Amino acid sequence: MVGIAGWGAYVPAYRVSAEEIARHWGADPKVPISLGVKEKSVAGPDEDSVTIAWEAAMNALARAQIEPSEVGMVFIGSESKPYAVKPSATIIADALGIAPETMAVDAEFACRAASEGMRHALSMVENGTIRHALIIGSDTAQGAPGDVLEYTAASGGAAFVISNENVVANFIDAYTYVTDTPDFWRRDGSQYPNHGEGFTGEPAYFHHLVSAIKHLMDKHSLKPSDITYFVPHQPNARFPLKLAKMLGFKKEQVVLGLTTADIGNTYNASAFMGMTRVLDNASPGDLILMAPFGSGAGADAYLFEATDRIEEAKGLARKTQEYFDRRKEIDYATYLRYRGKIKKLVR
Amino acid sequence: MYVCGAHVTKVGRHYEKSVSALAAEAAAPVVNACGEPDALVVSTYLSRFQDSFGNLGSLLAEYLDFKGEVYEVSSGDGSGGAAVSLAVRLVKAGFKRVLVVGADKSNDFQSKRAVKDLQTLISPYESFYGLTYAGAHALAARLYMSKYGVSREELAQWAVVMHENATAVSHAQLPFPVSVDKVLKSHSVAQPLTLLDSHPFSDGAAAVMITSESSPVSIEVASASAPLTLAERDLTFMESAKMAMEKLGNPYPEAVEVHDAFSIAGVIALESLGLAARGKGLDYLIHSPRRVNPSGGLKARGHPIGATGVYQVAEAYFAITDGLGKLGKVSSFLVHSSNLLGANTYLSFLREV
Amino acid sequence: MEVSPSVVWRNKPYRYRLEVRRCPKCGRAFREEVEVCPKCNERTERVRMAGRGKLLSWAKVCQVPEGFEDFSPLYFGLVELEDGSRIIARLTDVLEEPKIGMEMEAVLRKVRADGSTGLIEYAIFFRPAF
Repeated sequence: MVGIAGWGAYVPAYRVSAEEIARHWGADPKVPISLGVKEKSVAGPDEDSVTIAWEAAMNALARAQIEPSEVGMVFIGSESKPYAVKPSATIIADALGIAPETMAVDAEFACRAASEGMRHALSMVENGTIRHALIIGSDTAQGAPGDVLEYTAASGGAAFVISNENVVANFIDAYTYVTDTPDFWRRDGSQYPNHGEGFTGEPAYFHHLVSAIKHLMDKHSLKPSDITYFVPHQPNARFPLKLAKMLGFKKEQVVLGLTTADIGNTYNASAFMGMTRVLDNASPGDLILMAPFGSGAGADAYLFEATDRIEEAKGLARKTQEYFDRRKEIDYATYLRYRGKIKKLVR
Repeated sequence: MYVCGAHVTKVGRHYEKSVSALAAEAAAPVVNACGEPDALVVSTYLSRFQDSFGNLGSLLAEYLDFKGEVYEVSSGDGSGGAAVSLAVRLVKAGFKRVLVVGADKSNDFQSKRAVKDLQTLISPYESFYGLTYAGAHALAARLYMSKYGVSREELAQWAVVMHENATAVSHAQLPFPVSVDKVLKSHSVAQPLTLLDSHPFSDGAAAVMITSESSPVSIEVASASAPLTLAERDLTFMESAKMAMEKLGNPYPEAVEVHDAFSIAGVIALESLGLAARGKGLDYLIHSPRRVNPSGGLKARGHPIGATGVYQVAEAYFAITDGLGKLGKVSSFLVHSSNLLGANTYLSFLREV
Repeated sequence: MEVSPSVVWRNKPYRYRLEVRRCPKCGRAFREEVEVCPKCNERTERVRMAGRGKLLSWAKVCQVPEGFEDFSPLYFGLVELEDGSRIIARLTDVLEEPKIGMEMEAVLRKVRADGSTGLIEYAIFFRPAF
């Protein structure tokens, strides 16, 4: 049965606190407090969405215990590609020893491009087109200096190996719901994204996720109490809890997967990151509902059931929480420097 | 083989002169003193990158109106030593006179450009990471210090002695004294090395004439090589220096110029040449401060990269003929020129005839 | 253009995957396309160096070369890998002062970017294992 064979995360070591960002802009620190994100992870100067993807993928492959050369698709979702034109997926495929006999692509759909890849992968592995697929969500998320996004836009990556072999979480079903909803965007050539602030909530995040999740749960006649862990997209730490409440989930079903509260929103790795921490802790038989969302807008709802193999796979790579615990606080100026936001002499 | 004449320009920042002008300035007096050579051997290193010019030998020949054989010799920062070595071989092969000219420029751009250009000494597999000339020496320094229990303060002695020696050398770039404290407090270049552990960025040119005609100063040369790749060797020892010294018959010279691009390289050189026991290079220095790099060394006389080895031989010639700095006059002098911490060693042994 | 497309391309095995070409006879390793050992005339074999090792020496370079300003200070380490081979590589995520003898692990990082329009170079760095 097709499912997740390996999972892995990577989070850079650096953190900038919301309080430090607010202090710099003369903002009221109550704003970030209301978002529930105390600090966010920041990629170091030698990191980008490719290097982040590499380590998350290494961890996923280690847990899947498959030959990299047998991976038939490398799919990266990112909205912070180092190159506008030139695939990140080929760099990863070559660096991990997957190339050349593989498909490889970079996809963009705000925060859910990687999730779209997971849907493709599940179907392609299931029908035998490819043996394994590597799905990676990786971002060094951009938030314009001074914009509210800056409190939460974080760096990190999460990856999954989709396969029929060595499965740790059987795939039960998925459902996707998309519409043209302009809640968040970045124009070609523009450095930072723009957004509709409150408009990102009800008509975008909540409407799409509720529609996708309800459809899937209804189809399988599931009640919230049937689900062990609920892992939705998490632009901040407040939206997922509100969504859970709307759908009838209890807080205990959400908090393990609510990793944005620890390190901020890692965009394409947002729900994926939460999923990695859930898998780090899940037990055989646990039912997991993961629901990524991307602005523009679309939501996916997935149902997975953990298998017996999950226990042995846990120790094969570094746990997500270990990356959270490795942290070095930096000030706002260092954050600007690390993220290349300072104007310099240019060659 | 003999040395019949030598001339050097002051080492420093020659913003007003190009590498070819400096080379001509050093070469002409030697030709005037010794006569027209049969061959011209030129060495430069950094100027190729700084001036985007790679044909110095030919242009210098044009300036000297020289129509004979011209060779440009390259062996990294040991290029000067290599040029002298080859000139001695040419004279041994039958030429009457061979003129060696080393000339280089380091200051035509900002220092970070010179730092980048000097990375070209390092094997690409190591330099592409951004590893610098100073960084390579810093790795050696930390290894050496931990292996032999040498403190940062002790290593600073090298610079103190070099600067003191340079105070009596008119062509030196940094002829001022420094204290241990000043060395330690100077800014960090590549920890554990500080600015005052490091060679300055230098421009300059030097020339010597090698001849088969009897002259008051004789010269013998010997060279040997080791891997260029830094990870493939013991960074606390220069195997090539030891081998070259054996080829020379392990002479015990009255004074020595060693290739101390950074303090640590000088210490390791003394030990590799067999002048000091391993781990005891600084003891030797403290014991004989005037006999080690009486010019001030690369550290204080300066280090015009491709010219340095020629400066050293010129200085040995001066020491034997007229006396050099605080050393005064001696009758034997060993010159150690090295490419990247001993990837190649070129030794010259000069004696009063 | 400072970074050559062909150089980046041909060095992938050595920079992305810590591969070397080893002579089966003399055991020497070449970190580029040396297909036949020039000493032994034996075909060299592609092998992958270990991704973990011990730190033998390190340097913190503050005087960085042109093009590396964004990454200053640069840390370098001489690392003895578990397979016995030695490498000088960039160190990264140096959150506290390195200690000789500490365990290091390989990670893919960005070496530098060629201005704002040229290529980005990636390679295996080493970081303190945690």
